[in-house]
Amino acid sequence: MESAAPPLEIQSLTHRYGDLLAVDDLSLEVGRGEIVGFLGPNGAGKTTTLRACAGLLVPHAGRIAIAGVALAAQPLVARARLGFVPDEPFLYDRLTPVEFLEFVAALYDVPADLAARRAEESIERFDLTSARGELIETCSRGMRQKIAIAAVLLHDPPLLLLDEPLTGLDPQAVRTLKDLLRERAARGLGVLVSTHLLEVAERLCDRVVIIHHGKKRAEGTPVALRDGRAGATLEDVFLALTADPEPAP
Amino acid sequence: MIARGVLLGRARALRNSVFGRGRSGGRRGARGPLTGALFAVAAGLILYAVIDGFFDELVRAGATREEMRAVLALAFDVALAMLVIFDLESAVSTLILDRDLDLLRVAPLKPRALLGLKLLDGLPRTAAPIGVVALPALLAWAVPGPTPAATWILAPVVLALLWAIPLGAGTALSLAFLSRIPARRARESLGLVSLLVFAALWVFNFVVLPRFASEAGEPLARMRWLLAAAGHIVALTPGGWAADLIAADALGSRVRSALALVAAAGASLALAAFAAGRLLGPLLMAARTPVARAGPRGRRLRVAVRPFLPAVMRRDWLLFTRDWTLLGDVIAGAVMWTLLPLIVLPLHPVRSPELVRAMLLALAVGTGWGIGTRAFPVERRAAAWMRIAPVPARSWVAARFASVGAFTLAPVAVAALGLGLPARLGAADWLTTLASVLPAAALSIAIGLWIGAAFGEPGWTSPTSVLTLGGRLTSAAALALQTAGWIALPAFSQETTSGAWLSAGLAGSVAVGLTLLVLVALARRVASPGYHH
Repeated sequence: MESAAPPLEIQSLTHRYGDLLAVDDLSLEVGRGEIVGFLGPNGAGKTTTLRACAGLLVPHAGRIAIAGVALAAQPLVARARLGFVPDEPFLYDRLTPVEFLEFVAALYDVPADLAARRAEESIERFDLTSARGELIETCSRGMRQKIAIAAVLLHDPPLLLLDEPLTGLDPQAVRTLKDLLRERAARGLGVLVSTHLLEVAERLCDRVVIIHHGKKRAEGTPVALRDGRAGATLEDVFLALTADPEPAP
Repeated sequence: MIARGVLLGRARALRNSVFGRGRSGGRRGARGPLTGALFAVAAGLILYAVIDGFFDELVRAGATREEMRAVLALAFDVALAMLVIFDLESAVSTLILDRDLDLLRVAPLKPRALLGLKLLDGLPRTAAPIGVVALPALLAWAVPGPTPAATWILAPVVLALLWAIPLGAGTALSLAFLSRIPARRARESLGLVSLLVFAALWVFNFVVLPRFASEAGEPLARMRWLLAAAGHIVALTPGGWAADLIAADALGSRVRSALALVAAAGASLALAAFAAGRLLGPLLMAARTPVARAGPRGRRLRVAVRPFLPAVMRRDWLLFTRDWTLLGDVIAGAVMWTLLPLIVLPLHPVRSPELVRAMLLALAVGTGWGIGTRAFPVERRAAAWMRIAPVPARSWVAARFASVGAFTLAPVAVAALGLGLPARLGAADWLTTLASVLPAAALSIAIGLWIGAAFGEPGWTSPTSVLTLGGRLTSAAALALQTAGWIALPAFSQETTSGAWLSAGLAGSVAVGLTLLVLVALARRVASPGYHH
């Protein structure tokens, strides 16, 4: 049954690490069929936000809903509706990619034939065929990233959360991933992707959210963000929005 | 200058992890080092009380000062042996396989400086036997008596020298060994060495302890017999030198022992520095060169999805069986646990059913603990799937319990048939045996799982160091209590058959209840915010 609710709603999310306010009253939404770029300098709070959405940490305040289901109230239902690829994939080094995909399919209770079909599609699409029988510990960074992406596609969730997904990928795999995300958006599914590659964000994302020091600094389409700044690129906008004031001499 | 900077960084990292600064200073990070230190202090205090009481008993029994000094020397040597058996491999793993070596290796650090830094990194673990065994023994000796100020001043130096002797020589020998094997097998080889040393110690105990116990009377008399028989050998060991330096009456003897101790420690560290200078660089280079490793034999390339429980069991099976150091550790442990009760045979005649029961109990408790404590750490960072996947914590816990239970009961079943059939156990013997073996296995698995979840080291490099220091001490205490409790149980109920049934039933019920409680606590832990390695 397809939900009419947006794949991701975050309202007033706040999270601290001790005295450090990592995410400060952040609200954002990923609509159906939208690819949203999540941009910010290092330490801006992107990974914390994504981990909170994935259920890996419990925020100090705020509400997160995945495809209409509140993560705090119904964590299992919400988790079933998302797929999360962290910056360092959670893989079992002593399994092969095929064994790992089988295990993840079991976790999400994907019917065997459907899981097998989707796994085969991903293996072929991401060119994992040569590595399918090798132990993951022997795979390169890029291969590991591809395996992690293939795993979250198994249960075809309404929302994908991707933290720096292009790290280590070769140009062909980058193209494959971008095509795949566009196809998912065309099917009405949502994607929140954190990246430092502003050119990719500009070309791939329907909308971008820029955060700095845990606070949202700007939100809109790349075109709208550049509006009124003749000749400016998204990079110029990003640098202007995330510049810290010079300390007083 | 670089080494100083790295040292400063280490000190800051320790401060941050203890006081919970920054993002890593979450609940788990803040408690880890403090918990380990608290456990170590508690263990040290207990040992201090034991050794102090033992010294009092020896004094009352009229022991000579030489005998007392030999006890101190034995305690020092036990600490050194523990360091070699339990911690040397961990120290060498830190030196060869630690995660930050990629960073340190590209820095212009000399191999000897790198060796120094990594020995310092391994200090919390390698210093544990010294802090938990040697220091309490030294205090038990020095605190009650009139102790000259020089002894107190010398004490830290003596402990540091005791630490350096096995670590330096052991590191040098390990580097020499590792340089002669394929580097990609370094971790497995280190695990194998640790396993062999541990097994050797077991066999030694197996042979020596029953003989020692049978040739003398009461415990105190036995110890005095041992001191008389082996005192002159102990005097020639580092522990003997250290004890002489602390406790000898004659100045000449003290000076001789000090020279021997300093020379041994100096030679040991020099040997380590020499080995590091010659071997560490190429070894690190080789260990980090990617090597294509063939996948598992007979691998299936077609995707076949299973239901949740079989999927978890299959994953656990693959993770355990593909790490042969882990598997070897578990199998060797199973064999040694089974043989443990045979140690008492020279002391007391034991009926076959009782012996079989004791052997199966030791096997069930030891193997359940061995696999249980490793079940969560073996997942490393991928344990995060417990938080990400839409699976309730209770299902995870039930699946892990079933999985570890199956792996534990398989060798127990084989041993039961192998031991029970030749012993011609009757139906009642089988029933009383199973009535205690099964609950004992269940409780041991549950406690092992909880300890693994609470104290697991996701970055472990050897099968013997999958737990933090606090976890090791906790698990050792839990294991000793369980084993002793189960094996001692018949002593309370040997009078009648009904008494045996009653005590077995009662103990079994308590064990099952405790198992459920521990599993509930484990489920709460797994479901708690922020739980994942």
